[in-house]
Amino acid sequence: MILFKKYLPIAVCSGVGFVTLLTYYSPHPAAGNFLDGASRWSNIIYAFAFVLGLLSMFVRHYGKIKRQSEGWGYSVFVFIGFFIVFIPALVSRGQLLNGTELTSLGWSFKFVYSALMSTMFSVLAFYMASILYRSFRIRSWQTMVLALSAFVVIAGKVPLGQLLWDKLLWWTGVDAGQVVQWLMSVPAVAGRRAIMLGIAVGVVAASLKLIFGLERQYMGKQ
Amino acid sequence: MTFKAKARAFLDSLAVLDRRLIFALVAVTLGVAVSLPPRLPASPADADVKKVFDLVENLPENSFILVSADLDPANAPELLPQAKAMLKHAFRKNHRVAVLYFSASAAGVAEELLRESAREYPAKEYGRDYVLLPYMPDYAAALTQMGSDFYGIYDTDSRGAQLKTLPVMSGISRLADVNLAVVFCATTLLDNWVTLASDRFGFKLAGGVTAVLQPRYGPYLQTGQLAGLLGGMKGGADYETLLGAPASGAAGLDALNIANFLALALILCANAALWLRRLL
Amino acid sequence: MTADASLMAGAWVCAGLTLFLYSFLYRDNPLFKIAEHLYLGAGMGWLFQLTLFNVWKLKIWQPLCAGDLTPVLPALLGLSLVAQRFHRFAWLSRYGFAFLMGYGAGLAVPTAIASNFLSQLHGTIEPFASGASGAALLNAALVAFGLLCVLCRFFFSLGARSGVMGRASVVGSYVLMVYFGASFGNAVMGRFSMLYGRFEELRRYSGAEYLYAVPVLAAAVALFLARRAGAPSKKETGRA
Repeated sequence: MILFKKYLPIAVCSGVGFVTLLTYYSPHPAAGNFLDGASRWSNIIYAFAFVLGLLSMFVRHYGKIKRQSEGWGYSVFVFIGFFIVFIPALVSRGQLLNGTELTSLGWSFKFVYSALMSTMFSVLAFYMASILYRSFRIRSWQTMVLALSAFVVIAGKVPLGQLLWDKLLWWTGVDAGQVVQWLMSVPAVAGRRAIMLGIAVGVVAASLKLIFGLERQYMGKQ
Repeated sequence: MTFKAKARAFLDSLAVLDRRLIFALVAVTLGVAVSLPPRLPASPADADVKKVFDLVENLPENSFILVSADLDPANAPELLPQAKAMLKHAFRKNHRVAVLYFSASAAGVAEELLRESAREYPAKEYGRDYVLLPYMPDYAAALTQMGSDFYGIYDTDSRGAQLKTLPVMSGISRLADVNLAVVFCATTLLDNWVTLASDRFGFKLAGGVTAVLQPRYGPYLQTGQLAGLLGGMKGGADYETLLGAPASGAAGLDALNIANFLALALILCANAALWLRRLL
Repeated sequence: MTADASLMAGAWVCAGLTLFLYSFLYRDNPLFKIAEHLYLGAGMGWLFQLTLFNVWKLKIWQPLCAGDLTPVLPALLGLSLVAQRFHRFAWLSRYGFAFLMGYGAGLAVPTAIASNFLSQLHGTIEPFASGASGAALLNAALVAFGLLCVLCRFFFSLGARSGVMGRASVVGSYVLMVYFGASFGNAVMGRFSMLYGRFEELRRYSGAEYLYAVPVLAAAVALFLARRAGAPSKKETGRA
C-alpha cells in the first residue's frame, strides 16, 4: 500500500516534471504532443482545485448554523450570497448579457459581487493613508532615500506635481516626467533586476527539488 | 504649563491621532476631488505608453491583436481606462481583436469592456471583428498550449461557437501568428506571458498593469521582452491623450492630483511633528 | 427621469453593500459582517458557476457526450484533489497535486533560466557590447553598477561588513531603497485609484435619477451606528 500512497505520487511528480522540462529543449513532435496533452490535463485538474475550498466553506458555515454557535446568523448570509449568484447563473446558463441587456447573472455580478469585491479592496486606501501618517517615520538615511524616491514618483506622476515642478524647479532643466522616467528605468531597474536574478535561481532550485522528490509538502501528512 | 510642554503634548497627541479622523480626511478629500475635479491640463505621455500606442498605430490594417483582459472589479478603475482606450484604438485602425482572461473575477469586466468598446463602433460585428474567449483557470497550461495549437485549448468561444470557423480568427493557428498581444492585469500574470509565451514563441507583447506593479517591469522593458507598458491610471490617461479622446482615465487622474498630495501631506506632517518633537 | 426598475434596485443594492463595508472604518458592526459574509458566498458562487459553464461543461461534459473519453482521467485526478477533505482517502489527492506540481516545476525551470536569468544578464551587458554612448552608456553603467552592489547585498548580507564587498553592500541597500520607494509611491497611487472608482460610483448613484440612494443609505447607516455607539463592541477599531 505504501507504493500507492507514497512512492507512486512522487514518481508521478518526478516523471511529469522531468519530461515537461525536457520538452522545452526537444524539437521532436512527440515532445510537443506530450506537452499539449499535459497542458489539457493540467487545465482540467486545476478547475477542481477550488472545490476543496468550497466544500470547506460550506461545511464550516453549515456546522455553525446547525450548532447555532456564536454569529451563526451571519453564516446564513454566506449561503444567501452563494445562491444570489449561482441561481441566476443556472437560469441564464452562465451568460452575462442577452444581446445588450444584462441577464440576472449580469445583474448579480454588476451590483452585488462587483460592488463587494471592489469595495473590499478599496478599503486598503484608508489603511494606507493611516500607515502613511502613523508609521512612515524617516529615522535613517535609508528611509530618507526611500521617502524621496516615493515623493518623486507620487508627485511627478500627476499633472499637479508636474505643474509645481515646472514652477519651482524649472531651473534644473528637466521636467518631472523625465525624472520619474529616469528613476524607474535606471536605479529601480538595477534593484528589480537583482531581485529577479535571485528569484530565478530560487525558482530553479525549488523546482528541481520538487522534480527530484526532495520537496514533498504537496503530499500532506505522511 | 510652559509653551514647550504644551507644544510637546500637542505633538505627542498628533502622533497618536485617532485613525478614524484620518479615514474621514481621506473620504472628504476624495469626495471633493470626485465632485469638483480640478480639471488640470494633461501632462505629456510616458515614453512606454507611446510605444504601445505606436505598436497599435503602425500595425497593418486587419492585424490580429490578442488581448488578455484580466481586469477584476477591484482594479477596473486603473485598468479599464487603459483597456478601453487601447481597444478603441484597435477598432479605429480596423484590427481584429480576441479577448481572453484567466482570472475568474475578470469575466464580467471583460464582457463590459467589449460591449462598451463595440458600442462606439456599431459597424463592428462579433465573430467577424472581435471575439470573447471562455475562462481558462490554468494560465500556464493555456499559454503553453496556445503556443503550438491555439484551438487545442480554445475550441469554442464564450458563446459556444466553433472558434476556428469564425472570420476573426482567420490565419491564426498558434501564438506566433498573433501580430500583437496586450496583457492587462493586476497580478504577476504579465511575467508568465513573457516567460511562457512571448520569449518562447516570438511575438510582440505589451502590458497594462496597475501602478503598484509598474516598477517590476522595468527590466523587461529595457531588454525588449516587453515592447511597451501602460501603468496605472496615468497610463490610461496618457493613452487617451494620445488618442485625442480623454475619458475616464483622464477624469480619474484629475481626481488623483488631490489624493496624491494628501498622501504627501500626511507623510510630511507626521515627520515634521516627529522632528519638532525631537528638537523640543 | 428615473432609471428603470432593475437598474434602480441594483443601484440601491450596490450603494448599500458599499456603505455596509465602509462602516467597518468606524467600528466593527453587524452591517459589515453581513456584507463580508455575502462577499464570501458570492465569490464562491461566481467561481463555481464560471468553472461549471466554461470548463466542466466545455472540456469534460461535451467531449464525453460526443464519445471522447480523453477527459476522464484528468477529471478523476481533479476529483482526487477533493479527497483531501476525507481523512481516510486523503492519500488519493496526492496524485492530482503531484501532476500539477510536476507540470508546473517542469515549465518553471527552463523559462526561469531563459527569461529571468540569461535575458536579464544579456540586457545588462548588451549596451556595452553594442557600442552605446553618451547618456545611454552612463545609464547602462549605473544599472550594471547598481545590480552588482545589490547582488553583494544579497550574497554578503550575513558576512562582510567591511572592505569593498561591505561598501558595495551598503550602496546596494540604497539602490534597493530607491526601488522600494518607487514601488511604494506607485502603491499609494494604486490604492487611491481603487478608492476613486468606488467614490465615482457612489457619486453616480447619489442623484435624483436613482432617488438619492447614497445619501439616504448613508444616513441610515450612520443612524444605525450612532444607536449602537452606546453599546460596547467586542473589537475596538479606532483606538491608538
